[in-house]
Amino acid sequence: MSGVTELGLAYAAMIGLIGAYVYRLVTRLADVDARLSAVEDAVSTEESE
Amino acid sequence: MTVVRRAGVALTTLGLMGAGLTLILGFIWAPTVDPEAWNSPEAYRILYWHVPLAWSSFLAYCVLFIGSVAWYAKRSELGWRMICTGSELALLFGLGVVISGPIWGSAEWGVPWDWGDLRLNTYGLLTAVSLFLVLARGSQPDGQGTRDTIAAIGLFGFALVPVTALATTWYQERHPGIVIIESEESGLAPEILTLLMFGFASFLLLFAGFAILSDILHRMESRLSHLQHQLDEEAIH
Repeated sequence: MSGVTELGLAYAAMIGLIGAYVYRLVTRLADVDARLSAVEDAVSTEESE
Repeated sequence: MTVVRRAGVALTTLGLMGAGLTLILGFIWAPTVDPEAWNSPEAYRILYWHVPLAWSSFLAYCVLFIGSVAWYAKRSELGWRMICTGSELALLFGLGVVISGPIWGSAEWGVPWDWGDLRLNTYGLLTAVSLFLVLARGSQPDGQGTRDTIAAIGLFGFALVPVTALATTWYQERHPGIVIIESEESGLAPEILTLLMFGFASFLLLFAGFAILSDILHRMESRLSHLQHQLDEEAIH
């Protein structure tokens, strides 16, 4: 047995793991960015009033 | 987008491209190992990602350690963010190692895990520590007590790094030795070592990109929490 199946399985798992982390990082950055902008707007509106 | 964020995105992109190229070269350019010396000669190609992932995870534990010391010494916000980033990256890279290693072990040794092997067990414990840190940070209210506990466990985790790194030198059971030092003994061809170094350089870029983006995220979350608290205070008074 040369281990080609295990090789494919291991790389699929590692690619999936890194891909999931990148996806989570990008979506969290976009989400927090949007929420921060909204809160900063609310704070600056309150301060101007 | 700020300059730092752009740098984080650029490093992450370069790192991902380098890791992809390492994978492709590992399949089409790297030579096969001696089929007489290995039970599954093709499965060895796992090492082009497995080893850089392991080294990168040690770097993540260094970030965690520096952050823990900075937190204890100065109650530094930067130190706390380093703990957050270090524990997340240690978990990411550690899981990559802990998942790919047993798959290779099944092919090469016939068993996925050897409970008598010091390297495997200390590395498994290290990954469990990083998992605990990430889960604890997410489930506990943020405060000085929580941060102190997490920093203390981060320091304990780092103490396992040299034990794990040198386990194959001190006490080798199944896990192969340190490939750079023992390349003659392990019979690795120069092309394999070259590609392994290229893979490590790529994962180093990826690590730097992830660390920068993760730090930006934690800084933004901290500011968001501060502003929300400020709004709540103003609403009450």
